[in-house]
Amino acid sequence: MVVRVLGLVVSTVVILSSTPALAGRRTVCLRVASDPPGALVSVLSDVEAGPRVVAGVTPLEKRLDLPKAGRLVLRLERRGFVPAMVEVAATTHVIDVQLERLPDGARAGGGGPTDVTSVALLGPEITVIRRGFSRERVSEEGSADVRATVAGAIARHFHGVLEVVNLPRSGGVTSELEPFLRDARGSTAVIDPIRLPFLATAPRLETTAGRAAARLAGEMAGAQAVLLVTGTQNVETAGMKAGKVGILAAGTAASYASGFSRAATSGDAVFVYDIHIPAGSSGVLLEAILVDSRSGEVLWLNRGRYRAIHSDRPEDVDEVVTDLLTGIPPGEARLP
Amino acid sequence: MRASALLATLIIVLAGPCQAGTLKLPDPPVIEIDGAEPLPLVVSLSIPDGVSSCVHTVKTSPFDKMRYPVGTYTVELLEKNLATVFSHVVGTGSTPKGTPADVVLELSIESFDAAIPHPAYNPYTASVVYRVRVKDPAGEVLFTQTTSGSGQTSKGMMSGFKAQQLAAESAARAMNDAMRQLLEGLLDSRELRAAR
Repeated sequence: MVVRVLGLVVSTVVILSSTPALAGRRTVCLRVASDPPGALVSVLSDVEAGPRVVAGVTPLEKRLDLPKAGRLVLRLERRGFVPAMVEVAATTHVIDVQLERLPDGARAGGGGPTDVTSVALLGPEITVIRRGFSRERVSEEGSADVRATVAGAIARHFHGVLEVVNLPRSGGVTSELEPFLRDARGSTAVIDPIRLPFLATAPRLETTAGRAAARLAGEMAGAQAVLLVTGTQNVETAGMKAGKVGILAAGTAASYASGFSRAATSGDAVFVYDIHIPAGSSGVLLEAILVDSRSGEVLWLNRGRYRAIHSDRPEDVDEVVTDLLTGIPPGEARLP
Repeated sequence: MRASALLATLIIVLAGPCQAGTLKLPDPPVIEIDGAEPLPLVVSLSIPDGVSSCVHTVKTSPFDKMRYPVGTYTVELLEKNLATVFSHVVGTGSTPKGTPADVVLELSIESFDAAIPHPAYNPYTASVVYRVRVKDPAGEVLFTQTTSGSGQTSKGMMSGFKAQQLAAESAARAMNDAMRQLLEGLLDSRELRAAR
């Protein structure tokens, strides 16, 4: 009996001590600066895989957890400069990094959608899937309705700020712009929305055909940039809802850009995120990307999962679109 | 004695579901692309080590896993559809050296993700990112492209009874979607049209 109790106590201690939150992790209070300032500070661990952690933009002061094993490394990134990696020790309190400029001839690219005053809107390419009690199907009617609703909300969002020109999505135009759609989808999948403005060099659409299609879209609309919004919305039919009485799935109006903005303004919290958006049973998953039509440079992108979009609730749609398009255009940009 | 036999039986019964179940994906389809005219090039397909054997595992419970044979399906899908893009396909493998090819096509699987929903009646989703590099015989990269595909399916309240089938179907849809874009991208490539 005594042996059993002892075994139970030992195993409990082992389990608790292996749980990071309960193991009494060491923390370190850090002041991080860079020359020039304005570098994104990411927290990396070489032993723990997990969501990405952003501490903020230099200069900053943060309290960070040191792992029990392995190293804690900070990565500092700023457009036009070579990324710097700095290891943090328990005795480290101040980190001051002189960032090194990219070599001459290296293309850094622009700093984001700062000089954009007109946008060609492609899509929105949103598919509505109606999920019934025993099967699901794509709803063409529902998709068209949601596309029109989102397009209207985008026009309202940019009214008086940016000129928005809707590009037709029928006839020969579709196939000519197809390379842009492919490249844009690929970029959205692999580029981290939070790191994008800080990457040493601005990513561009990958293929010549994709960049040519972006240029064509810009010329057709007389716009400097092309905005593509894509997404999938799951809607449950009455039969499905009746089948799962008592179980509710609520969407959250949340995207990367707004999450980062809130964390940056809240001061002391680090922003923890993962590039993977968990699959949801209802609501809409939206992705948006803004590309410079002249160079094919990716200026901005964002994605988020929201409550389902309904054309009879324009205020809700406006809220979703405002959150999704956080960051374009930046504060001061206005039509002349 | 009887207790030992009972225990052994119990272990065997419990151990069965603990084994990772490899999903049986549908046969890779021939992807129809309207107006596709194969490029007049001889291509050699290079499959890097690790692509064919790529398997994605999702733990569905403490005792159960689902294994997605992503690499096998991808390679079969590509091999089945490469003739849509290139007039001649020669030699495949990890290092197709010495083949009289105009270009060498190298495929990698950048990421694969799949969601097994809880509760089981929610959508089964999957996404994949492929990257293709086409090089000339000297190893110079002529063309690169990254494509992203996604797939979703469900059978409503009946989904839980067909979980493996739905997981396989959503994965195949995602890979077919990404492969279609990859083939279209190759056909649209100005670099490849100028390669000869």
